[in-house]
Amino acid sequence: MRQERIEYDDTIVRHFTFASILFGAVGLLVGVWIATQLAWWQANVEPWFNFSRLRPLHTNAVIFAFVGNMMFAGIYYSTQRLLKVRMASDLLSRIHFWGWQAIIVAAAITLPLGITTSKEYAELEWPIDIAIAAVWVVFAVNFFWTLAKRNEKHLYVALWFYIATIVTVAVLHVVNSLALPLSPWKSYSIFSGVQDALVQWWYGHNAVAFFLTTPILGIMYYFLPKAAERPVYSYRLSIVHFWSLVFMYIWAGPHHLLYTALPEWAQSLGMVFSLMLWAPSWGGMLNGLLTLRGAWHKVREEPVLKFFVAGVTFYGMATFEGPLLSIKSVSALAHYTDWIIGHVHTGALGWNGLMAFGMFYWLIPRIYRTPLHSRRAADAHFWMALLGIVAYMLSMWVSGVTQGLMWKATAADGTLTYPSFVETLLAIRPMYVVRVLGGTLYLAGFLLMIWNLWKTVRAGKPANAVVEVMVEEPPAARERGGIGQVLAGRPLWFTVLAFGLSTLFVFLSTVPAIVVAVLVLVVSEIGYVVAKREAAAGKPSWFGLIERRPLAFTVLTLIAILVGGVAELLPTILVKQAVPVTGAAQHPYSALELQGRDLYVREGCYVCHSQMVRPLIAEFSRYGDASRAEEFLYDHPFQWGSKRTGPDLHREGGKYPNLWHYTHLIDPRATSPGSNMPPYAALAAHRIDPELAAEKLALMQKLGVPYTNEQIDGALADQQAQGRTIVADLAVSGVETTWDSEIVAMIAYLQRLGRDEGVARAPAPAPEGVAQTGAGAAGDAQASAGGSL
Amino acid sequence: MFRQFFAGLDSPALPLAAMAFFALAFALVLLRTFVVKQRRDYDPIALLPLEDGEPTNSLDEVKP
Repeated sequence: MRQERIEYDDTIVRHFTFASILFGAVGLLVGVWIATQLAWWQANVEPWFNFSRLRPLHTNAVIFAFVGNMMFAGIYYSTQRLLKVRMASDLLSRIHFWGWQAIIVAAAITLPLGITTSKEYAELEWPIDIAIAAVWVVFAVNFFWTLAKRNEKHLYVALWFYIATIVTVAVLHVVNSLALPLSPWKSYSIFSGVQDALVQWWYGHNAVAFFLTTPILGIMYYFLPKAAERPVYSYRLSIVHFWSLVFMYIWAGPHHLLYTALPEWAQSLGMVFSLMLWAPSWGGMLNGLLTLRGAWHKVREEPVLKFFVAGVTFYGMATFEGPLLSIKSVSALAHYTDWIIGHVHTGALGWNGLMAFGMFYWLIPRIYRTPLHSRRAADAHFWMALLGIVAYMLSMWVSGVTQGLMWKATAADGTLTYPSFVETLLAIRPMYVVRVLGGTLYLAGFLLMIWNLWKTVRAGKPANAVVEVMVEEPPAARERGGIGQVLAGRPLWFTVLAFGLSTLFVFLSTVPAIVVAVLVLVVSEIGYVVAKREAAAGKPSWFGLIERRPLAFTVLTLIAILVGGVAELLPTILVKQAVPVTGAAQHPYSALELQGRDLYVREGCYVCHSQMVRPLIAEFSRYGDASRAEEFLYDHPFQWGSKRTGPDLHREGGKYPNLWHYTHLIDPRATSPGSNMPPYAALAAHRIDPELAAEKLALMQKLGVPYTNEQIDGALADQQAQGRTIVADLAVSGVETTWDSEIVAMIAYLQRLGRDEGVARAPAPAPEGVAQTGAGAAGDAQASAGGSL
Repeated sequence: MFRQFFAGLDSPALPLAAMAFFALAFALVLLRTFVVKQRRDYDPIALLPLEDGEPTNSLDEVKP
């Protein structure tokens, strides 16, 4: 043993903390703004600050700027102290910080400009994606380098969660961002349709898991015992919590795609793993709350503990609600409704937000060596945040259930009780107003925290903590064993054998599968008995073998998440084989339709409109035939959406005349009184770049879309022909526009949706506010014959 | 709800067996965690956050 003096790098902790608070305020402010836009459409400012462009800015700001910076602050602070060593490289820490902030600024600029991939929580275009990967590598190198030079032999469980975060986010980000670039600000996903949806929600769900959950759990396991002045309730439970959570979470992505065109068995797989997630999630929550055993009286007095306890409780609520929503019959009601928005905000505002506030109130006084300016203000912030969340959650639950019930309500004769979508929107508007109030209260509490922390900072002085720690001399490599000891360890053999047997489930029918299940049970039991005997003989346990070896630990974590990842790639491959490459249902988009599709992506229409008719009777009555996998074969990227603030659009083509779409885009309330859709009048003023179409078609050809070279060469003429058909149709009603205006391309795309052969559609409701003309027939004609493709 | 839940699966026997297996495993882990006395070798690791040389007292006691 020797004594060592260590000066921790708390400057980087301060940097990340300030960035989190700054961008948190921005993210919440944008959140309140877009909530206001949904209640009062007049709050939209076309084109850059329409709801559909601001919503991705809000989600990215909260996830990657607010929670991301908070997570880095917590990781840098706790890692140095748990390893009893300063971060390996101050330079890498600074590159990480400034690189991450540059990415956030790039997101804040590009998203309102409509530069987006349209993949939720992964909207940033490819140059920024590369920057994210590079900055993440810098962070990983610095973190693992610090692990390598640590002065503490044990790896505390918080570090395990950080390792899982670093490894898994890297895998998810790289796979989901695979795309072919068209220009510096436009790319197309290499995946299409069902495959793209599966990869996206494998990413999307696990972004929640490994960006918003595992690092915050690590922070919980470090900061909660610190604040409670007690060790974690059960370290053994934290081990079980870690491995089961990391292994199970990665499988649950398909629960975002229930009742879609995804194969049934993949949906069921996602649902079952989601249900199993109840156990580890609640295990972790209970472990956090029980850490306060004998210290509950402190919760009354200590604002930090109030935030932590409420945060962990919201984690429990969100992780109870998530699996509940993953049950197919519940999903049939809740999916696409505001219930999901309420669920997400239980996690974001309740779990992430309150944990962040608790950490800030604990950290700032310590890294500025001064007491908190006002505990009463911190208490007031707690109650404002809590009431704000409750108002938000309740309003969204009521709104979501109302939407779900109204959408599916049918009369005795089978007709829809509420055939007009706007009717359902008007019914939930009071809840949208309540949401604005709840969000505003939460934001006001946040601003109070900023004032409180600012006063604290002004009273203190920034200084790096200097501590004297006792350090054990590292044992010789031979004595430590090394990776060979892990690989030769019997626990590893039994684990591999049990998992190997488990994978057979995929290929077996019922009876052999049950036999295999029994075999897994027997192998596990033998493994347990052997492990007990070896422990009695003084040999290291499974835990003892890996917990001091970061490399072995990281490799095993990677394997644990890859098992689920690979199993989810399997359906992707199978679906690809199952969908015929050619056939009546598949027609690549015409050049003009493809241009319109890009505008649909740019404007963020997918934020409010799904393109996925589920096989439910009410959906058939409202929209038409259920969507089929092969219909999305050429969709790079897919546009299924995840929310219906407006109706589904997959069977929109030919339902209304061109004039209706023109009028609707310019002024949505002219055709749909009561709609909260933002106006898109700028589409009529701007032009597409017709020359770009050939490049787009050529790129699509590389991605496997069967465009011929003749079609690519004739893209310009083809756009003109199709565009002029629409223009002529509009001219009948006195509307003057040009064939290369953006609105014409958008109409071409909308009229193309769901127009494949053999598709039945719901009867078109009578358009409101626009006189019927012969445009409908003309619109139909142009949609099917205008493009030569 | 349960009927709908199982109707959505290809085979009713396999998910039932899997759920029973999962429930059993969950109960065993729970029992082992809460009933069996914790092993001493976890204790030093659990104390790591409290032994990092930083003050662990309440905010008022943090002096400028």
